[in-house]
Amino acid sequence: MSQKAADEAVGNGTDALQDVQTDVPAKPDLDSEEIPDSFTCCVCLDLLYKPVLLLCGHLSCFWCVHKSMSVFRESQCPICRHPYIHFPSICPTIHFLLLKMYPGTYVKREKQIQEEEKKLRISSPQLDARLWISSGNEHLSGVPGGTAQVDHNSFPQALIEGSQPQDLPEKESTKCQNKVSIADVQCGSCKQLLFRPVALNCGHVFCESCIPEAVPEKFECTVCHSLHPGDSPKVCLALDHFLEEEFSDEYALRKPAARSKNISPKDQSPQTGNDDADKDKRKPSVWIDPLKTHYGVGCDYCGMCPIVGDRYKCQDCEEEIGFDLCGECYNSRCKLPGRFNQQHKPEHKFEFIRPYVMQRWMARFLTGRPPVGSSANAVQPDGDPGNPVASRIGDDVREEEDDNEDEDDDNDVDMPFIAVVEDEEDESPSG
Amino acid sequence: MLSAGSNTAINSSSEGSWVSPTSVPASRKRIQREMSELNVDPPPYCSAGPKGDNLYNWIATIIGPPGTPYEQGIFFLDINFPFDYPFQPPKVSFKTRIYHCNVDDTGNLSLDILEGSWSPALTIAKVLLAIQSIFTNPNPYKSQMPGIAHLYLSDKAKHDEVAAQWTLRFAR
Repeated sequence: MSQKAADEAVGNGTDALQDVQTDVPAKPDLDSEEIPDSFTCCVCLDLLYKPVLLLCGHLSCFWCVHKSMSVFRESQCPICRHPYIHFPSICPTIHFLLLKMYPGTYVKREKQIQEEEKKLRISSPQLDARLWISSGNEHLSGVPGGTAQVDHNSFPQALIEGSQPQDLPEKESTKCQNKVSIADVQCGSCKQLLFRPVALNCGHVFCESCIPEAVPEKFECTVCHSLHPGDSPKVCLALDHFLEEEFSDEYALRKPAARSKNISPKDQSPQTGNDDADKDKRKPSVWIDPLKTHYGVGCDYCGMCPIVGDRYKCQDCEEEIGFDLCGECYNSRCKLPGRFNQQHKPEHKFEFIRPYVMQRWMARFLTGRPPVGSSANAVQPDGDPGNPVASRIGDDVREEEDDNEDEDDDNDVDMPFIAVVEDEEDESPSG
Repeated sequence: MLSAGSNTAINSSSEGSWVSPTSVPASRKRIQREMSELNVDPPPYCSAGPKGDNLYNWIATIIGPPGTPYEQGIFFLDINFPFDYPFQPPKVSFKTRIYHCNVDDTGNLSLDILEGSWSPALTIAKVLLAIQSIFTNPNPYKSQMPGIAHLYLSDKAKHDEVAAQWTLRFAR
């Protein structure tokens, strides 16, 4: 993108997206943006869009990860089948890195995904360039002409800021607008170039040596202070190799430093990344306790899916996808918006929901009545996505409705599997 | 949040109406991408492509790998993509008759990656390679045809002879 066009785009504020997009086809190097395999999503085989870094260090798009997750048990990484139960947040570092390196393709992808989201009436988190700046990435903020006041609702502004040569502290990178600077890929903790990058559940990236080797039960991210559940994350080899190529000198410098800081067998073996060596350390499957599991529902804060244990459902969020929290996150009072851009407010009220599905089935078996909507039906909607599922669900709802009439009259018919337990104490919005 | 997957059936009525989490264009795009990749760099002894206008209906051929009783046979396979591909595995079946313990009379084949072990990161090229590998190494312990599996385990020379005869008769 030319300097002039970039200035115009910034000047127009909210119209920047259109300007960028109309400008893109004219750009000669759109086709020349060759996406390396390391930044290709393994599921959609396209450039990663809103990349999510899984615990095992593999990358995939936000929607690709979400769609490939299982709602009934632990999910597995599409590449290495490493089990995980928490859906990690989008990794902003890689998101803005890709946006800077492949602006044409990335914006094109954004447009496609936005259209699709609109069609399906779903929404993914909006990464705010302004928030990103305020969280310590000042290199983007030195923008002339009052661009800081422009509403950064979407990220093309970030693209523009990033591609303006004078924004970059490193003057040598002015030659190429796609050149990444170290400030784009710095560790959230030591503020240096990332070395053997790992990502926490919240999506923030750190050097492997900057987080404790054995992540304690309640490890807090130093950037956003959210808790990291589960095991220690593994090195993202795709990003690691990219950094090693891009900043070979700095990377070589970091090597001895990191090693002296954290001498561990992990650092010496070159293949800690995605191997299955620590299979034994993996936590046992948690899905086997059906009485405690809320199938098909995930926590909007920590990303646990399905929710095991207590579940709290927001009564005031209007989004179709709903807003739910697991017991732990409910008690820690999250302030974040939902995983799918739900506009959740702290004053919203929650209701406590019990996993009732299995209990009801057991009751049916005991009373000798056939269970409705057996799991075999529900689990595998084959081939045709539309009608069979819908009709099956219709049957379920009707039959469940009959059953529930006497038990919970005030219960919404739309929630056949769930019994609402009125709990005065738990519903107070500010604990 | 509610979860997606292709299997929101349990909840799609009860919580929200996210019935169709995978849009058709997404699967279409992925299949097109795989098609162009197969054209550029096809796996050895394999080819695959859409049968006609329908992108979700493919036909594939595998040439029997040398050193096996299926050598020089040309085996046709039908591939049907579900609409929520790649989150559900494609349905693959043999159109050419084959004497193999993992392929039944009607051409259905038992292959773990086409069932429970499917992963969205797998592609048709990888599936074809996996099928080729069962040409060389049949799995008699998870067979569709117990008779053939038994013969394979007890008298491999006889098994290979029959398989070669079938290849000559049906796959040339």
